[in-house]
Amino acid sequence: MIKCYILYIKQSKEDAILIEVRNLTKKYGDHTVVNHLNFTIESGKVYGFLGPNGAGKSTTMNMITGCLAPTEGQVLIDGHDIYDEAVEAKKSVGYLPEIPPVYPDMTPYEYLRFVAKAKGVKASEITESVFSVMEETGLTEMRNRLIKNLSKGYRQRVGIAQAMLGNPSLIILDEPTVGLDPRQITEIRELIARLGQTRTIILSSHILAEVSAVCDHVMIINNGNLVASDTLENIRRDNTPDNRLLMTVRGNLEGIKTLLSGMDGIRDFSVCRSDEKEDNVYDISIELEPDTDLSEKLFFAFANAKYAVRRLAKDEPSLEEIFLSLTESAQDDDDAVPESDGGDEDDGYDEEQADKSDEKEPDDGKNDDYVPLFSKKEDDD
Amino acid sequence: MDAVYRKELRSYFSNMSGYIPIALILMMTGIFVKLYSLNYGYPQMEVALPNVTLVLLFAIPILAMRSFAEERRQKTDILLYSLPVTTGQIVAGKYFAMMTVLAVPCGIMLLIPFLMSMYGKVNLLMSICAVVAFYLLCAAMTAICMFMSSLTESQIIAAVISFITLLCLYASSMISEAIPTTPVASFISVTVMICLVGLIVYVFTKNYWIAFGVAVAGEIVALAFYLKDNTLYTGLAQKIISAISIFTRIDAFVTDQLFDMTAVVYYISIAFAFCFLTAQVVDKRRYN
Repeated sequence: MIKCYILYIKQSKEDAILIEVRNLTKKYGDHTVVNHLNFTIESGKVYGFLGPNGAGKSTTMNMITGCLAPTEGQVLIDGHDIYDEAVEAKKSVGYLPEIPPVYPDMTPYEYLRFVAKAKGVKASEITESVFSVMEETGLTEMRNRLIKNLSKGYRQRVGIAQAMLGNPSLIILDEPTVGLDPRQITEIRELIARLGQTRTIILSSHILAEVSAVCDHVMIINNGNLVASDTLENIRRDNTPDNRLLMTVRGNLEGIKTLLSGMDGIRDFSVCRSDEKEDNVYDISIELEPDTDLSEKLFFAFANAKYAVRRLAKDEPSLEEIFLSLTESAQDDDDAVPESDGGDEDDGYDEEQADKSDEKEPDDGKNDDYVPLFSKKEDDD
Repeated sequence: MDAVYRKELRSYFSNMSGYIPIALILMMTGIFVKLYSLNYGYPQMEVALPNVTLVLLFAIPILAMRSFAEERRQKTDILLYSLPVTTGQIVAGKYFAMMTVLAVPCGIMLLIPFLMSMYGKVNLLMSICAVVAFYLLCAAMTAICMFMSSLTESQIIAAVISFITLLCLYASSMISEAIPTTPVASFISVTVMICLVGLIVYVFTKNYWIAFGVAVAGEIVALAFYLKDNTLYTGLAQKIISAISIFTRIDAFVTDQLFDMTAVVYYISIAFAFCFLTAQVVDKRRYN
């Protein structure tokens, strides 16, 4: 399935700056959707653009691709301003918007030919490049069906194929796996990973598993502000405050406490009764000295004391927890600013939220526009 | 531009939206040519054309309604924005595709004088010029309707407002006959027109004060002229209406038998102006 074709040769994987976003701001009336974003995209990496619904992801993507004019700020693609040198800049970008922009009355083949031509692919190379992107996205068999008769997954592929045409150095995919079934999601992720080997990709999503599966670098945006931009490991490390172990042990409460108090390298610990129905089962949370690992020592200590260790794990926040803490704290900050009470004319922004509102699951009401990360509705026709 | 043009042309001929206008225009041409040339024996087919213009009120809105409205509804406009083509190229591509569709009935119309010349003496040049003028009239109307389509997300609304606009233009000569030529009547009609201009300004700028300012300034100027010399206003309403009317201009080609360059220039200017406005509206979408 992995197919190298001639068009890709030119691609270099140097750390050249591909996109420079300066002070990017979008306001609808008084409502700030994107607030002074600054970042650079280096070539050859897969970037994840993460944020809850309504965080300004799609707005930012639309501004980077020149589909929406920023209120303030500048986007440079390969050194070309997306507005002043639009045609040059847009040649380096392939974009799949949130809703695949496909014409239902065309077949994928006709549609892709149209896009290839509009992107300025040479007439003699159009057929070849259309067939190669169809091959890569698995559309070859569907090429002569009308797009309106294709399933959502295939339409999404047509959208991705469209973005790949013209061999752009950057591909921007806005929530490419929304509404696909699990198998299609895996396929699209594999496709993205494959594409990432030869090109720069920006992938927007609110699904963390997706981002952790394919991205080298993660940017988390919330309420229009960039709250984190780093590799996933660094973000995880920065958000793991202390060295903590979690244990579940069956044994004698006093005995456990004595055992733990007598051990070196433990700063603090707390023991409480576990939820399990049996008696004498305790959950223990242990704070260790930094950079110490006592897990094996603890295991043998408990084993020698004939206490059964049922669980022993490092207390690392899950990606979801990191994401939540980053986006929620930023939200609290933002709530303090009176500006965020919402204008009347923010149609695009509100629509985006409205569309997603049916996907929400009952929440504690605190984080209104947050959708639980793994419980995204996956419907397909 | 070429890519957009081909895509549009293909879509017009792959569903009804291209064939309906062609069929309507040809049907009306057939009916009136039969009536005038076969029943009454006029050798010139162009006498039928002023009657055929009536069907353009339906045919052109049907042709142009989907041009931009449908792109917006299906969110494919984002694709057009993200492609390395300028707005001007998009508008031109779509416009020329529509003009190509309209060239089909006009091309078929051009056969009629040649067919008739086989059975008698026909002034071919006159007929050809009239058909060219008819095509240019279509060009002006198409640009207006395309502009209307760029304003809305719904094809139906686009078609309806296009139809109403064309109907107003079509009926303008009748309306002008109904208005007395006295200065007072003209002044009142000018006031109404100024209010309409203010309304249009409001629709596009969404700024109440600019619209109000434009209307008030216009009214002050109109009032000043009226107070200074009200004879200027005699028959002014009729003059203004006939100046903006696009339908009556084709009569010169038919009844007066002349090739009216002012009409040609007027049609081309209208077409160009509305294509330009369409491009502005489409471009402005990015800033909404």
